[in-house]
Amino acid sequence: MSITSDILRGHTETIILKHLCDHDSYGYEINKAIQEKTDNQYQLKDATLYSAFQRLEKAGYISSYWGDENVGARRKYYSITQQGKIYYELSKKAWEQAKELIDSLL
Amino acid sequence: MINRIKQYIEVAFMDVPPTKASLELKEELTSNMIEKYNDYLLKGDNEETAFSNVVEHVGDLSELTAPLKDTNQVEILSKKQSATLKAVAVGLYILSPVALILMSELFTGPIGLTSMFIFIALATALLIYNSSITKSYTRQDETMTEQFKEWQDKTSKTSESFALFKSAFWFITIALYLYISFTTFRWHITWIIFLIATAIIKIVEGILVLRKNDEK
Repeated sequence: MSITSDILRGHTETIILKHLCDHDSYGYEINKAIQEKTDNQYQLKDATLYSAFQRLEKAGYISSYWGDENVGARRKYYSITQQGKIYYELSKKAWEQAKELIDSLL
Repeated sequence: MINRIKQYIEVAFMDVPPTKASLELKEELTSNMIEKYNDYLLKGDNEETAFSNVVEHVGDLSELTAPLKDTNQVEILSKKQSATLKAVAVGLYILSPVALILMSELFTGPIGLTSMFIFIALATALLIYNSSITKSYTRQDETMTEQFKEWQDKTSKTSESFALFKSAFWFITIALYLYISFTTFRWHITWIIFLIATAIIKIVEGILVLRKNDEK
């Protein structure tokens, strides 16, 4: 699993952007969705997830705002920007190309 | 157990300065971890297992906290700002007698004196504001050298502002003395201004000493 994790980690940002394409979300919800989609086989470390948020926000691909939860702690929500959507499409194309190449090589 | 999660984050952020960015990150991490913890409880885990499950997937937080420790850039900015504030304050002190002379020439009545005191008040306010926003040296560990540095920083900052204030103050006193003496020609009594000025300086000094003792 550790080799797989290493490969997946390179795509953390694309995975986050994909999730945000559908709707605004916050850290735990994104990680939970990743876990469910991969049938509990994969989840991000918190440190990886939140440093990816920071990089994406700095690059202008996502923006953040605080939720107004009445009960419990506030959540920090992220939403994808127009630039983020463009970057996601590019990353996805890059991955599809890489996948084809690797398939023909291995 | 929720307190343990909070504590866990506190420890990870122990040597990170409490800036807006770091406090927000702390809040974000904590709220997400608590939600995760509660979900584990719902799934039937006991508190201990839920907590260790949450912590297991935290990973290496130092990659998040490391960039937050770098506050050098903020410091350079605030130094520039502080220099500007000091320069403006000194300028106001120097210009205050000019205001007195100019306004007295143009208008009759106490407008000249009033405008001078407004200048002085503004300048003093700037100095006080400046010394309250500049970050004082906080010691990095409990060694004697660090304690000395902190003490030195505190003393020099107070005495620096005070020296500025004092020199401007005497300058204004002399200007005031000459001005009043020349306009009223009551030289026999105007020297009392110097006694009053000395008294004021001593009172200010006394207040500063008292405040310093309080801080200790």
